[in-house]
Amino acid sequence: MTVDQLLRDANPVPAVQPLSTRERNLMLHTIHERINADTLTSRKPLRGGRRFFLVPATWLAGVAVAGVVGMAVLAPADTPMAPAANAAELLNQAATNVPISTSQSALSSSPYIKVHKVGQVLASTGPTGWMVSTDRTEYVPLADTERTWIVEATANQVTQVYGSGTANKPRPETYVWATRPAGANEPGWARPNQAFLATLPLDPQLLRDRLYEHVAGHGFSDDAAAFTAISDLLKSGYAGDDLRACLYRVLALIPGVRIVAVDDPSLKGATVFTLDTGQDQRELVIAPASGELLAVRTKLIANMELVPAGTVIEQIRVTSAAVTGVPAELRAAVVGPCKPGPRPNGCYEQ
Amino acid sequence: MPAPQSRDERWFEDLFDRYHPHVLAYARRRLPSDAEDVAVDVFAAAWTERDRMPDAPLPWLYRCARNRVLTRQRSRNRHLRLTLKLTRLSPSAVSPQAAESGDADEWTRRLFDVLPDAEIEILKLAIWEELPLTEIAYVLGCSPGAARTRLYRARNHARETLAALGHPATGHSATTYPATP
Repeated sequence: MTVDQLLRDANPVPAVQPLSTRERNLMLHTIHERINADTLTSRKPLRGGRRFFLVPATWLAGVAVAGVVGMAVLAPADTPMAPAANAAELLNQAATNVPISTSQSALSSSPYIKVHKVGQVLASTGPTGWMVSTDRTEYVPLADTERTWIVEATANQVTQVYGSGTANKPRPETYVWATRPAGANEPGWARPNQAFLATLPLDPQLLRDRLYEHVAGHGFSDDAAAFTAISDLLKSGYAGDDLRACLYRVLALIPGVRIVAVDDPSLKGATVFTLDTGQDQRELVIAPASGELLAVRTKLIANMELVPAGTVIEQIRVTSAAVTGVPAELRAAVVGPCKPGPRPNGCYEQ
Repeated sequence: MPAPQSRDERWFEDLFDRYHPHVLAYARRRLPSDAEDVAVDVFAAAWTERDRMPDAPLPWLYRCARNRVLTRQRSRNRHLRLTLKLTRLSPSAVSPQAAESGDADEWTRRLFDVLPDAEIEILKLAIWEELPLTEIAYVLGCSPGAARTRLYRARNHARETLAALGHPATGHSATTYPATP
């Protein structure tokens, strides 16, 4: 017998069985939570906070999946599975009242879309947590060979959420950079571009069918995954007004979408729509009277490290418009290639 | 592997589906009680560091898993580990029946109690993970030439140790490895 044979015979784990779909989604959910926890406990003052923007849609769908499983066990038998009537009515009302000033066809034929995202995001500096303002403008190209140009000002307003002391309080900073061109990546719901969005039907039932075809099999609940996909698309700012109105109507068709109380005085007159997910509750803040999307929010419903349940960890308001080009001063501020590591100011990604 | 700029959530899920069993097996072979946690750590790091991951991800994932395992092992109660090691090293730790029958688990336990950790790890990478020398070198952070030398020495040391422990028959390794590039 050789050493190799002896050790091979003693291998305590000759093989690992593939995960079931349920185990797989729960594991992905756990990884997502770990990434968020690492972000919140990171000592990187603000760059870590930015990572909240980067949580992929399908993982959030996984979170939704886990929540729905929990609900299936805990909810009473007579829990209504259709959307509450007022939620669907208000979503349809909002859709009707959306002014179509920038249609999807106009956006999809414009050289660039200017997307403006304003809001707050939670950043952590160890034992203290801060809500940090963010004001970000993106110039997103129609051509996938062009770069997206971004200018972002952060921490002009900072509010302490938990902990004490101001030693690591985030300071105001402004970053300018350009991303890599999207290249030949296949666009889709998870990576939408204007060419893809232009192919989407503007009939709510047809759009719903296209969306559910995409999310089918992603976890235990297609409904939760569909809600997350729509909120991601709305948050991207890539949707034209007519597509946004259609997405509201699709939301009205999703079972389980409900209204939650408005807990922010600045959102008076708005309605907050959500779908129970068990973790990281995604909320769409919409004004039914005007059809305006006032914010996309993410709220914790369970404690995460030092962050208490109920904390809104991200709230972003998105507006967009068709533009013909990138401002010359923004292009001039990007002077060289980015180097590996944290993104420095004034560079383009290679 | 796609280029770093296309490493999106779909890429990540493909990476997870393809390599999670390997990473989980690696962790279970070294730290069974924390294996799932180690795998979660590794894939969380894979997402965070996706732009820096090489085109062949498995050695990177193993290297990351190795670091996580070592960190957790170091943080455990030293006294407890010493106690367990002393227990295993005692003559009664291997039953006569097991020794006579050539029980692979028992002999391997005795062997690993004697070999240095570095030699154990390179043997595991070569035999349990079935990695080629270049990938072993990446995981250990050394050159392929150094990995070949270390593996050769570890095999020899293992064979000599088994003989000293009274193992009935352990000959030369039959495994061959590709030449260092």
